Amino acid sequence: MAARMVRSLVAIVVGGVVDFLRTPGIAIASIGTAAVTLLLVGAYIVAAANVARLSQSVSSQVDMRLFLASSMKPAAEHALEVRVRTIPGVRTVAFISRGEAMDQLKREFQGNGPVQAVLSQGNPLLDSLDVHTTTPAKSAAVVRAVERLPGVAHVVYPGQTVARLAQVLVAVRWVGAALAALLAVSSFLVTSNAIRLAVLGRRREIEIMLLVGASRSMVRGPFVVEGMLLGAIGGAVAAAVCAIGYGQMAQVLARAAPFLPLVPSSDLSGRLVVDLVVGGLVLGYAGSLFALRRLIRVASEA
Amino acid sequence: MGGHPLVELIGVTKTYRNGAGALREIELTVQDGEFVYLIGPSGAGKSTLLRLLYREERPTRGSVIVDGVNVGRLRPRQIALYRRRIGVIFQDFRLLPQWTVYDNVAFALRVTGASPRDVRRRVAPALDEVGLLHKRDVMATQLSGGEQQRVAIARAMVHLPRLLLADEPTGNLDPIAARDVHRILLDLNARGTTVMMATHASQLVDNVRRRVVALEGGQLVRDATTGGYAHGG
Repeated sequence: MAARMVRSLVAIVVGGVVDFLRTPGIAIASIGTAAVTLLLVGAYIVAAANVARLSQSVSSQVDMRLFLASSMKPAAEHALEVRVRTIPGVRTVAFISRGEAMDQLKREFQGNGPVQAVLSQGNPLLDSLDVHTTTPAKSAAVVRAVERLPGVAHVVYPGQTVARLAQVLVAVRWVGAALAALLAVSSFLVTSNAIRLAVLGRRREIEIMLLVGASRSMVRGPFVVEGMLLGAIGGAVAAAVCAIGYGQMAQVLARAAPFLPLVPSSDLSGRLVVDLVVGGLVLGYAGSLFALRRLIRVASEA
Repeated sequence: MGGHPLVELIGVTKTYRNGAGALREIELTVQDGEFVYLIGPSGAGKSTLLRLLYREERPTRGSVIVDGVNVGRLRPRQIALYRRRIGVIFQDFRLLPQWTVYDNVAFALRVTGASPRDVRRRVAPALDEVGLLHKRDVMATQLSGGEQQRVAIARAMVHLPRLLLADEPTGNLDPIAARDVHRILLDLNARGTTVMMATHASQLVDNVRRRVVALEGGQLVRDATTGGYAHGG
C-alpha cells in the first residue's frame, strides 16, 4: 500500500515535470508573467525593509542633539550642560566631545573606503549634548527652550523625522499590502490560465485516465506540480533579478548617500529568495487547483 | 453463466437538465457471465444506459447496481476504484495517438499506481489476447481501425474486469475488422467476462444466439430472454 502510494506520488511529480517540459512556450510565458508580478512584490519587500530600517535607525538615536559653538570653552560647555539639565522635561544630558563623535562616525562607516578617507583628513565635527526627554511629548518644548540658549549653534531634532517616517512606513505597508494582493491575484490568474490551457490541451488524456480508474488526485497531481513549478521558477527569477538589482543600487547609493542606513543586500537576498519562491509555490498551487476545480469535473462528465 | 445478477437496473430514469428524457423506468437484470446486445436506433438511450453503468452519469431516479454496488451513490473518490473493476470500450477507441500500443495499455495500470513489474507482467498477456503482442512498440496512429479497437479492448481487459461495456465498438470498422472485434468479445465472454454491447450492427446480432435488449425512445421495448416486448411502446 505504501509502495503504491510512493509510486503514485513519484508518477505525479514526474508527470508534472514532463508536462512542464512538454509545452516550453506556454511555460516560459507563464514563468515570465509570474516573475514580473513577483518582481514587484520583491520591490515592495525591499522598499518596506529599508523604510523600516531607516525609521528604526532614526528613532534609536537621541531625542535631540545640541551642537555647541566651536568657540566655546570647556567651562562654558559644562555650565551649559548644567543649565540644560534644569529645563523641565529633560531626563538626561550627555556630553559628546568632537573626538568621541569622530570615533563613533568612523565605527559606523567601517569598511567604507571613501568615507574613511574623508574622515581621516581632519575633524570638522562639533562638541554636542545628547538630550533625552522624559516623554516624547516634551520634546518640542525642550527644543524651543534650548534653541534660545547662548552657545547652542544648532539643534537636531529627529522626533519629527521619526513621526514622518512612521507615517511613510504605515503608508508603504498599506499600499504595499494592497499592491501585493493585486499582484497575487494577477499571478494567481496567470498560473491558473496556464494550467487551464494545459488541461484543455490534454482533455482527451484526462478523460481516458478517469475512465480507466485514475483517481482525481492522480489526474490533478501533475497539473498542480506543473503550476507549482511555474510559480517557483517565476519566484526564483524575480528574487534573482530583485537581489542583483538591489545589490547594484545599494552600491551606488552607498557612494552617493553614505549616510543612508540601507539594509545590506546580503541580508535581503535570502529573504527575497524564500519569500518569492514560497509565494510563487503557493500561487502556483492555488492557481492550478482553481483551474482544475471545474475543468476536471467537466472533462470527466463531458 | 454464473447464475447470479451482476447488473441490475431498477426503475431507472434519466432526464437531462434541458428536460430531455434519455431513459424511462428501465428494469433490467444481467446475470454474471451473460452477453447482452443493446440495440435500438440513435437516441434510443443505449449509450446513456452504458454511461450510467460506468458512472459517467447518475440516474435521475431508480438504482443502478453492479456487483452489489449502488453505482449512482458512489462518492467521487470511490468512482476511480469502481472503474478499475469494469472495462469500457468505445466506437472512437479513445487511445492516446502519440503513444505506443504497449504504453496505451500500460497506462491503465500505471494510473492506478501499479508497480513496473506488475505492469510488465499484465500488459503482454492482454496484448496477446487480442493478437497484437507483435505490435507492442508501434504507435497507435499507425494501426488500422480494427487494430486500434483491439488495443482498446486490451486496455479495458488489463484489469481483468468481470464486466465489459462496449459502446458501438464496431461502428467505425469495416466488416472484417468488425467481425474480428466481435469474435474477441465473444471469446472474452466464453471465458467468463460479462459483456454488454450497444450496437447498430444487426448482422452481428443476428448471427449469434445471445440475449438482445432493444431500447426505443428511452424505453426498454424488447428483451429476447423474456420474449417479445417487455413494455408497451
